[in-house]
Amino acid sequence: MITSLLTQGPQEPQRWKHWQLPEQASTFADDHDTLYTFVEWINYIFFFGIMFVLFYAVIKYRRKTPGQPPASVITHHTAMEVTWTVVPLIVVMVIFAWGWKGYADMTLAPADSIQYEVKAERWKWSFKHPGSTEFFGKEFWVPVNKPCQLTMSSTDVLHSFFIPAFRVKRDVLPGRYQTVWFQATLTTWKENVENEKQEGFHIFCTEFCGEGHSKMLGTVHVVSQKQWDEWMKPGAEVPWDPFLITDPEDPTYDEDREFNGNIVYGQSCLTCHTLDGTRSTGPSFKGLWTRNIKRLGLEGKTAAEQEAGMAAYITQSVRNPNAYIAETFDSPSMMTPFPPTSLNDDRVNDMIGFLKSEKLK
Amino acid sequence: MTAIPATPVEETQPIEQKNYLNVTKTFMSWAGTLDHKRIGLMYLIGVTFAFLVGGLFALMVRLHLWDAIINPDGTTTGGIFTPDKYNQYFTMHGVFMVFMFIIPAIPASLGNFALPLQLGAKDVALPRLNLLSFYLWLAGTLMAIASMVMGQIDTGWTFYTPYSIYTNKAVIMMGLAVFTLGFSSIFTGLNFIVTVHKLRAPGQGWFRMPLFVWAIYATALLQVLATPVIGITVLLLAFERLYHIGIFDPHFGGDPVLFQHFFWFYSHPAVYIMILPAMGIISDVISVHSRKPIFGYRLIAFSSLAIAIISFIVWGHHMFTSGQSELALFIFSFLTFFVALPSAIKEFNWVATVWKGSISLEAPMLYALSFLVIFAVGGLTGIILGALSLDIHLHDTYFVVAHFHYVMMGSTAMAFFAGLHHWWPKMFGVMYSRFWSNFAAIWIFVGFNWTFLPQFVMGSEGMPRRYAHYLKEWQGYHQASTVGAIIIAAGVAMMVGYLVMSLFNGKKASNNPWGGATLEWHTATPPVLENFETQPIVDRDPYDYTLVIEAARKGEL
Repeated sequence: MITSLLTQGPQEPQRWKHWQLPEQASTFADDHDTLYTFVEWINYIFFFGIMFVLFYAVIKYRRKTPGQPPASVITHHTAMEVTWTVVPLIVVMVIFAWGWKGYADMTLAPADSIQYEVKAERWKWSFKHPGSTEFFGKEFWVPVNKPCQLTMSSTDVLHSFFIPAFRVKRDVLPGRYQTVWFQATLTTWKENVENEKQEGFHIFCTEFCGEGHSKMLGTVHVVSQKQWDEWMKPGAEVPWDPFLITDPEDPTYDEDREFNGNIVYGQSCLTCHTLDGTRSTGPSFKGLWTRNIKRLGLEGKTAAEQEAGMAAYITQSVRNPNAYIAETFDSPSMMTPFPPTSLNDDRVNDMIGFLKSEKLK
Repeated sequence: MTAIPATPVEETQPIEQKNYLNVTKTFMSWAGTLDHKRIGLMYLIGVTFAFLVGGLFALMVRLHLWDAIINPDGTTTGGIFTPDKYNQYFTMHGVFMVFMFIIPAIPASLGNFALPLQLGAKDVALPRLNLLSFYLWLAGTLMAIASMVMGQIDTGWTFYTPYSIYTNKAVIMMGLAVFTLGFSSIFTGLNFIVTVHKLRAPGQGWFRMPLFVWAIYATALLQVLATPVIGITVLLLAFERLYHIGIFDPHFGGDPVLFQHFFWFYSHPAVYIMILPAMGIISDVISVHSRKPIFGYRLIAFSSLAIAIISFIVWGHHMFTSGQSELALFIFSFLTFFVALPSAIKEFNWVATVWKGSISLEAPMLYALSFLVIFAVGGLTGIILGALSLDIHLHDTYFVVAHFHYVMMGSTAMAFFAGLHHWWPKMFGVMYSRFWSNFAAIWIFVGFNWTFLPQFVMGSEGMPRRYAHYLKEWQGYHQASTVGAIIIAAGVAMMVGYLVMSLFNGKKASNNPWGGATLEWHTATPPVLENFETQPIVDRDPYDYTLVIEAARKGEL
């Protein structure tokens, strides 16, 4: 442990990189890329070999006069045909065995793996970190050089979890748990840097899941062991729990709700709802508050009554999107319902605080 | 190849000789025809229409992807269509190309035309069933168009559950279209099996059949045995949507992965329904245009059957990431490499056929050579995908998209073009422009590689398929690919142009313009309604060019 802490710098150099494969950022990448290169060269040898013979023959034996007979009328050659059956057979069996071994390494996670839960829904990844009770959207953090196992399931249709830099992919299914594990080898997380977008490795959805399929992006951040140990201390401030604790007695209560709601929006709503009034998959949040006050006939009421009415409507729309569908949008709704296990009441209240803020009203 | 008495057609008939095209001229004589050649031509027009429509959708997809960028923060720029429209267009591209073009293209159009001729038969064994399968194709196509009009579908051609259960598009209509097209395919296959068994000319044993017949025969077995499974699967999907029977939908205790098993149990053999007839055409065309016996006839014939059999037990390799057991993956990966072998053997045999031949570089041969190059790339990249650990990374990326376009579009469509140019003079009695046909063949070959080579690279870099928007880093590859698609479109337009022109001003073709030895070259051009004036008798191998070489030497060909 101590040795690895000493030897792991913030950004280890990669050993090698194939020009058409992503960077090697997990322990699987080296074997994968070596096999890829091996098959690639076998393919080059066969391809250029065949093409050389073919085009040499086409040029040499092309018909120059209409009556030109073929240079040979051979119909078969058993020894040759056996050769070009057996030699490729041996080659592909080697490739099969190597590919199987590489895959077998990916199946069983080490017993001491750090455990994460992953939830896929249209169109968002969310992650529950060790020691955390809430799912956090779109990004997650893992320590370098430690096996990590993800237990994944989907709340709606099929998705597929893909991190090119790690060479791992696994379909995520509704009604079933799927697992994937990896051990990252390159750190991406810059410590003590604030207010700067941190670039991690991309997560893609690779199983077609509808309108937002290509927007279902995510990020995995790889942090140093030192940073990870700090985050694992009880009560530590961690990036996957950025929410403020709200207290109605607190004078900054409304602002805290708005702050939290903004984070919830970024994690759960942004793919389908804009903040600037333009139409997307769902209605824009700009002016949503004012529109629905009118629709629900709450205009003359007191502020408290308005807020209670709107809170009921927003909670209903989050839990059961089909209960009311905004004008000009398709029924049934494309929206995935958010049950309390996925967005608890506290977070819905954050969202209400966000929607009633002055800039969105 | 045969001792057919030289048919005295040209000497004795008047100038306006009666053939299958002009023997009757009313609309009903075509719409109700039982003649395999006319049905073949109607299919040819139909599948060409489907190819052009499918191609148009492909072009729209590629144009959209010119600058459809997604930024890491989730905002998008560029692109012509909304993601919803984009999803519908790539779905329609897949559905039209797979179910309405590639599957029927070679067997139902060229196979219908050439198979009975090559067997020395008057017609297929069941002419009425043949006409019925054409009308089923037509009905299926109209239903697919209806589902487009009724609100499109956006599931991809694979209809994966549970997405296809929940989406509010016209999935049931499209499912019924696939069901109907499936029956068309089954009837064609059944018809060809009976025809090959019962209607071979006297003297034509199994090993004197042209390899095109062997390939169509192996394909027909697949069509009859595999297609019912897709029929059942789309019916179950329709029941799931209508009545929630709980077979695929996890909310009702179903298993969405079961759908994938059913789907690929058909659709993997279907891949060989698409490629086997293409291989048959290539065997014929390469041999005729090299004027040399096909190298290793029996090995090629048996490898067609081997492919047909093994292709039934490799479906799981489409599902390496779907959560099958490790044992299942081991077996499927192992078997996958075995299905690769017969294809490799064929490739070697074709190259050996060209070796020391007398090679004429006419359009059919140019398309066949394109096939040999493209199929080699498609096959060898398949080896990469068969290896388990590599497929985990490459599955559902553009690498797979490029791979199957090399096999389906690059190989099957090139072979279809080769066959079309090979039998065009026999079909219509005219020759197309030599210059334009050669030019278009090379042009399309260039355009094809231009389109799909960049997709291998972006795929292995991690670009997932079916994305309406992509990260900026892949834009260069996408733009190259779009330019390539435009080149292909221009090439296809060129081809349609000179082929149609040839019908009006083409030079009259002789009975045997290429020097073929199989039976179809021993009858009139275009053939008479009954195919042959007298029953041909086969007394030598289909690729025995002794007489052709002799005739060519004397300048009588």
